[in-house]
Amino acid sequence: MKQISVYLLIVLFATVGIKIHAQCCSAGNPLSTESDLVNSGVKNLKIGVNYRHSFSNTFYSENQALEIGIIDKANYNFTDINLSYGIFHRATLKAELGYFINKTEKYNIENMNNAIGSGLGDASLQFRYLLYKSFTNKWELSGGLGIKLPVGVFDQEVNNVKLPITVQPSSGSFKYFANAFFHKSKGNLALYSLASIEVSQTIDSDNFYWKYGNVYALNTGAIYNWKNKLSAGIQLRGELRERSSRENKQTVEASGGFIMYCAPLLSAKIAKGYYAMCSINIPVYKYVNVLQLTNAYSFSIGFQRKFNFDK
Amino acid sequence: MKLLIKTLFASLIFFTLLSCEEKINEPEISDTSKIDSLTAGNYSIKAFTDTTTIRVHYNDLGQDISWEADHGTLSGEGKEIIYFAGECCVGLNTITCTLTDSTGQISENIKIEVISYFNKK
Repeated sequence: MKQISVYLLIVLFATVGIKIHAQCCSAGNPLSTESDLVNSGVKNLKIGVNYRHSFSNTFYSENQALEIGIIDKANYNFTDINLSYGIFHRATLKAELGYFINKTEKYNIENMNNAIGSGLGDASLQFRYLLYKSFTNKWELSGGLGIKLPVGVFDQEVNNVKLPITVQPSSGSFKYFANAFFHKSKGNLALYSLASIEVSQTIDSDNFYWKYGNVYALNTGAIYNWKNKLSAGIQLRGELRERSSRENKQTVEASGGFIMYCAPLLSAKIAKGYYAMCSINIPVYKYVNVLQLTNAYSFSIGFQRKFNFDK
Repeated sequence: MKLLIKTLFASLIFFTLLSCEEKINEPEISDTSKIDSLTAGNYSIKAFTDTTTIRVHYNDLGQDISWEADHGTLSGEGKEIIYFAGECCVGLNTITCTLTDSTGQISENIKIEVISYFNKK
């Protein structure tokens, strides 16, 4: 237990105090917060479905909450289907496709309709490689490279009026990401850490011209497993976003920032090869540049089926 | 099962190809249809505070009217819409109105300045 505390504290100190930037408007799939990136070996297939609900209702200016009139609240309901398959002993291919049931901004203005986007989001493909595995000390290090493809709905209109970029279901441009994952287990306890970066291409559609700032994230967590049937854990996630830019290389001052989340996790084996999981993301520290609407909470539930074709 | 995996990955590649569509230039609308002007109640608004109503003036020959803003939010439909913007849209933004009929389409735009919520003006 002492080891865990020290580990979490190191990560906390490593993330707080960095010069931080964040972003306000966000098209496309939400960032993945997955923690299950342990290499499962060749010919292992995982198929999963997830549902995520997110709710935002508080404006922040730097690290202070502010009362603002026009946007009352925002929320989305998002689902995804994902596949992970061990193509070689150390290599895994992952694919994901997202769908927004809704992506809504509610306005506190008379005669003003809510902006509601919905439809297919982004697809992502990721190649993961197990860089090192120590069987004696039970730890492993892997890396991943991936791309998010704007296959879904963008430039969406309602009654011939284009929706704002914030509620467009797809990203409207390619995004590239890379990550490094560390996992160590000792008895029933596992510690993990995931460092990732996401870089967006400029959106240059019929209507929008926008480039999101890079996102750097560090997740770290501890999970306790009871008899391979029930796992409970907690994850700390620091998310740092650089400022966005718009046409003529103008920097968007009210974008970018740093948010730290705390996320309790629960997963259960419900039958042989079938798993269910849930988590809730609660922001515990927010710092945004200038003035932005920030997330109040999000929660997700998911189911996964695992197959092993190597037997 | 191998077939299922191949099919699912192939579907993702198919969606990728679909995303690479070409832009098509629409033909211009007939001479009998035109936009006279676009007007706004206010040409400068404060982020997260003010709204402005934008109206298209045109010879009404049954065209469809569509609207888009490069930054900010539009609400409403038809000849008149409401525009407002958040702090992330501070700057000079373009609102475009397009009329479409069976012969083609024509567009006009108007610029609205969004000033910071913290601006004391």
